[in-house]
Amino acid sequence: MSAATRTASASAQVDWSKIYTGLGLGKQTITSLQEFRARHTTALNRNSALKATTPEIDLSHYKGLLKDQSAVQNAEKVLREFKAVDYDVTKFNSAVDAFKGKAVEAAKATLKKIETEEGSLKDTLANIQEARPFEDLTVTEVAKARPEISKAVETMIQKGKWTVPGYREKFGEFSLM
Amino acid sequence: MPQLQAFYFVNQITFALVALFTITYVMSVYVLPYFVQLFVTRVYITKL
Amino acid sequence: MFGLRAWPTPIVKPLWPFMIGSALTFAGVWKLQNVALQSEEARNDPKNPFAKTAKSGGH
Repeated sequence: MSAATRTASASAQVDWSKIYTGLGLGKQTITSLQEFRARHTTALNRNSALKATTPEIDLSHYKGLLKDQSAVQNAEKVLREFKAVDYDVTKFNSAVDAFKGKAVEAAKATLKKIETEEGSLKDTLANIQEARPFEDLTVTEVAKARPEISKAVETMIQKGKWTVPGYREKFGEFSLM
Repeated sequence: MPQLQAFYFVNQITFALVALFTITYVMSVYVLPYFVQLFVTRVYITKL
Repeated sequence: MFGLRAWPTPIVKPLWPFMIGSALTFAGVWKLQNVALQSEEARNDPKNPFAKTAKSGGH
């Protein structure tokens, strides 16, 4: 199996819809994947178009037609000896490697982000499971959950403010004096 | 009344002052700020 | 202490006049007791723990 056909069969086997929707990839990753696919398709189209424009020369026709056989032989020799220029693909390979490195890095970053999200989700879940009814909340627990309350009380007390504005309007006055 | 006998006046004033300052200190550092915290917490959790 | 946390309440700043007043009161009471103990009535009182005179034993 030649390299070209192998590439073609491999590219035909890729299930793009699953990659786009099934893996839950990031937006950036999907965009770059789509770009890559579009580049690949255009390259493929251009290749086939170029192949289609290559003229097929019937040399035997010219052999019978032209009197100067040496010219025909010359042309045949030139045509036979013509070879497509080989491109140096290592340059492209390095570009591909760089792209791969970037992609792997992005994937690792995504993985890390997902892990931290999972941790916070687990925290939230534990929070929900250990949550107690509203009536059973204690001041200590609320202060632990919201340190800014303790901070506010500390500054209030340091400034000699011992009353909470708006408290009596909300909860009523219960003191006997 | 033994309190009115002059021999123990210094004793009495000593204990009275120590008790007053102890009560003031404990109340103002430990007890009363807790109530302020309680009120602030009540206002806070009803505002959420 | 007893599950209660200490809060940064200012103590000396609002209470210093009361501290001075306490010291003055203490000094006054100290002097008053000294004066009272010098009185004739207290000096010979058997209930006086500061009396220099020999005690009769009370009973």
